[in-house]
Formats: sequence, structure tokens, C-alpha cells
Amino acid sequence: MKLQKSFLLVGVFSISVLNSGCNNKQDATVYSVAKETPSAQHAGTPTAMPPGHPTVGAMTGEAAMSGNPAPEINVGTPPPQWKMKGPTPMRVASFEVKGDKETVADISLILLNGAAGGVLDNVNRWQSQLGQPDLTAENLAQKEQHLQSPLGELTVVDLQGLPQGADAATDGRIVAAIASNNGVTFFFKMRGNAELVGAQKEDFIKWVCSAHTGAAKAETATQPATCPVAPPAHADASPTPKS
Amino acid sequence: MWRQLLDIFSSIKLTIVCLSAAMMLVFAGTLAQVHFGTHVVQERYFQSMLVWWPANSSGFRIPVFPGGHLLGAVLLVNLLASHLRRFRLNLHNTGMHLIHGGLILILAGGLFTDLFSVESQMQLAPGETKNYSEDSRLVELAIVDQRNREADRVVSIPEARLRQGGAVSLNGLPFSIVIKRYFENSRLQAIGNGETNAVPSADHGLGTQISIARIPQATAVDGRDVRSAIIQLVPSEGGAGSQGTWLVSEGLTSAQTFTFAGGPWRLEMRPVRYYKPYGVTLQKFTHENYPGTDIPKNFASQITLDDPVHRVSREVLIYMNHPFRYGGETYYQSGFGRDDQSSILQVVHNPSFVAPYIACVVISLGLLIQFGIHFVGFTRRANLHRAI
Repeated sequence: MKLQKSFLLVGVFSISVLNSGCNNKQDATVYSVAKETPSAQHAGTPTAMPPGHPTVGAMTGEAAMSGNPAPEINVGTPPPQWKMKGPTPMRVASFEVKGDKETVADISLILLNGAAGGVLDNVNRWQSQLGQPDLTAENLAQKEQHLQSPLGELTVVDLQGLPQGADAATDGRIVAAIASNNGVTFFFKMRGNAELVGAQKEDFIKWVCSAHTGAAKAETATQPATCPVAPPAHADASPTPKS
Repeated sequence: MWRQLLDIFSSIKLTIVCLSAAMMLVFAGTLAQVHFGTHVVQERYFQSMLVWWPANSSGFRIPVFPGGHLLGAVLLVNLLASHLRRFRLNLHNTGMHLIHGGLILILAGGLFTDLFSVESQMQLAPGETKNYSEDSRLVELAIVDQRNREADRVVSIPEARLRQGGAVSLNGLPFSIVIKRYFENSRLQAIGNGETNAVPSADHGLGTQISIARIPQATAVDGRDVRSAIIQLVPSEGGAGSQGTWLVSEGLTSAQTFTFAGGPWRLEMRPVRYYKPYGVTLQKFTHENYPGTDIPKNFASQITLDDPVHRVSREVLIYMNHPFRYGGETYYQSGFGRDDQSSILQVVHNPSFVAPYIACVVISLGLLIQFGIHFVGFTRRANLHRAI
């Protein structure tokens, strides 16, 4: 009987604490900070707590500076025959290359935080863009190449296929490279006419290998890029051993 | 009534029930880590008053077990009540008072640490200054009003609010933020040219070029969720020009901007920020390994602290096991960025960090006194026996 009472009291106690104490984490807050500028991170400006900001300890204050340094990305050196396209919100870099007989290939660099679905999922998405069936992890292991770049290990795939109703002059092959650096996934992709993409593959790999982050820049300034030149363009090229 | 309450809370049965429940909670929590990961289990099982079922649902849930905080609180009350009841205030019981006092301090300190401590990280590149630390375990949707030339006004919506969904309206905000969908973990994929079967996640901003899919939460120790939400910006009454739906996600590497009510705004899902009334600048980061190995020997960060409010400007060296304390916060050398050039400092704000130290001293003193009293009594009796 006493035990039952104790459970009852414990229940009442817990519910009252829950009601009183746990709601403040769900409220939106409003506060002011000084303008964020890229140079703010190096300004060394002393700062104060923004008004309205949730209190941390006993600290209070007024205006504040806030630096939000985005990762410094150098998108590398594209070959001269690539024509830069207008920027889009998603694409950090965007190019187009034209070949004979009005053939075209589109080249892009997209960055996403985290694993962004992983290599297999993304490769299968590209497979579906080319109207091809999904690859298994084993199939992918046979197809992918691994290269070392200033961004870290690159996974390079070369996929072929012409989706139904597509124009062979502008579609038929994707060469793509995926790298993960400091929690950011880099997607380098070239898609277009199969022959043209094949002809541009070496330049594409060189471009991918020239891309680096701000932090990696200092290293690459004194060391040659470790990215080897890709093997001759061929969709079914045997995989390069993992380095 | 009070007597009944005291009977219940000082009951040894309650102690046994609580300790047994604590053991079961630890066992269940350990198993649950397989499905939910360490952080989520810590939050739901040990840093909570009750464990709820179903764990993932945001709808109807029922409490199925007392959480760590509840058990700790009840044990604390139990210890206090039983002590009050069983030990009279006299010199003979000084040792016992001190021992129990120390134990109570440990339990209360643990509870306070869990409730009020804030842990975050500050990652600094050489030369970089920051006046905030971030907790990447929690996200916030930051809507930044950049219309003012002097300062930005930030509306921060915490993860817990995003999870609830619905509309958020705030005074002075010319639009409501309607949280249409929230993703505990998501996979973002860029929609390629000609990819007709992919569904854009939103009709404005980057979401027009990205599809989103809900995926199970990461449970591995090094796994990381990509939290995302689809939000809609609805102008307040009298306002015009809907801003449509937007994808906000940890997966996006840059903030999105839009124009509304005569000026620019920024949208960003980012780690929760804790601003400080001072700035920390990294002057130099050193990472040393033992010669010929990759085994770390030392990490050290030479920082400058500038506090204009208290007119403090000083250089400090933070290195392994030598934290820096300032303004109620402790800065530990936690690690370094993958580029091996930036430093990561763990920033801990724990108002009750001295509690365990004081508790240990009090308990030690209590034990000394208690054993001393017994020892003196024993020697007196022994001498008496010898004399007889």
C-alpha cells in the first residue's frame, strides 16, 4: 500500500516538473548580431552578447559581431575549351563543352554537407538518369576508381547509357567524381555526348584534382597534385587499384 | 499527512525500487543505443523525467518507465528524508551527517549538471575570431533579417520547435514560418538536368533543385543525421508576396537568401549557437606527434581573449589537460580539424562543476570523523579491558 502511494507521488511530482521545466527549449528566440562579413573572422573585433540571446551563465551584453566562415573552396583550373556557365544556387561551378557535330557536355560541381546519400545511392541515381539499372555494391566496386586528390580520396565512376527519347548529341555518358572533405561531399559531374565525355575525361580528372579547400591550398602550393592522370577514356576501363 | 509523506520518502523499499529501476534503465538504455544511437538514448533515457513509448512518435505517447532525472531526484529525496528521520542532530553523528551530505551533494550536483550544463565547440582557423560556440548535436533554423545596415536580427527556431510543426509567428516578423515537414535524418540529392522523375523538395530556393528523402536516424557512434525541414513563409496579415516553400537543411553548404519587405533575408539550418560577450582569436595551433608515429603527443592552441565589457585582453595557451576558465566557461583542447590546421575547443558551461570536488572533501572528512569516533571508542574500551 505504501509502495503504491510512493509511485503515485512520484508520478505527480514528475508531471509537475515536466510541465514547469521543459518548455523553454521549444521557444523561438530573437536577438541581434553585428553584420556577418567574410572578413569578420579575421577582424579580431571584441564582442558582446546579443540582446535577447539566451543567457549563458551570468553573461549579458549588447551588440555583437558574428563570423560565419563558409568553407573556402577553390574550384580549380578548368581547361580552356570549357565555357563557364552562369552560376546557379546549387552549382559552385558550372561549365559547358562543345564537340563536333553539335555535341555537348555539361560539367558541374555541387557541394552538400554530410554523406549526401553515399556513393552507391548517387551512382544509382546517375544510372537511372542514363536509363540503366541499379548497380549493386559489388558491381560498383568493379566500376569505381580511387584517386588521391587535395580534397582527399576521390571515387570516380564512368557510366554509359542513353535514356529513352534522349538526344545522343547531348546525353549518353556520365563521368563523375565524389570526394568527402571536412564533412562536405563534393560532387564533380560531367554528362553529355558519350564520345565527347570520353574525350574530355582526362581534362575532367585534371580539373577535379586541381580543386581544393582553402586549408589544403597551402599544402598543394608546395607539393604537386597527387592525382594521377586518369587512364585512357573508356567506359569499361579496368579499375585502378585503391591508392 | 507529513508523517505519511516522510514514511514513504524515507522508506528503504523506495531506495531498493529506485536502485533496481536505475539498473533496469541502464540495461534498457544500453540495448536501445543499437537503434537510436548514444546521444538520443542519453537524452531520452537518462536526461529525462520519463521514458516514453513510442519513442519516435510526436503524437500520442505514454510514459513507460521513470527516466534518469526522476530516479535521481527520488533517490535524492529518499536519502534526505531517511537521513532526517534516522539521525538526530548531535556531535556523535557528525560523521554520518557529513557522509550523507556529501552523497546528497553528488546526486544534486549530477542532476544540476545534467539540467544546466551546456557543452559546445568552437572551431577556429589560425587568425580567426569567434564570439560564439556551436553545438552540432542540436540544430536551429536561423532566419536572419539583414535589412538593417548596422546589425542583423536573428530569429532562432530550435529543433524541438521544428519537430512540433505548425506555424511560428513572432512580434516584428513580417511573416509566419509554417513548418510543413521535419526530417530527423534525410538524404538530399541534386536533381540533374532532364531528371523528370525527381520531385523537388520546395518551390523556392535550393529546394527546387534538390529532392529529399526521409532516412532512418544514424545510430553508429560516428554517424551523423542530416536534419532538414520544409518550411513555408506566409506574409502576416496585410502583407503581400508569398515566399513559397523552402528547403532548409544541414545538408546544404550555404545559406539561402530572399527579398521581403524591402530588404534581404537569409535562411539557414545550422548548429545551435551560444554567443559570448567576448571574442576568442586563434593565434597559433600546434599538433605534435611522437617522433616516427601518428600518436598524438600534444595539441596546443595559443589564443587571444578580448573582453571589452571587462576590459580584458590576454594571451592564453590551452593544451591537453590544461583548460582555460573564463566567464563561467571552461575551454578544453578537444581536437583539430581534418585539415590539421584549425583547432577545436570544447566549451563547457557547468555552474555546478565544483560540486563533486566539494562532495569528495566532505565525504572524506565524514569518513575520517566517523571512523575516528569508532576508533577512539574502541581504544577506550580496549584500555578499559586491559585495566580490568
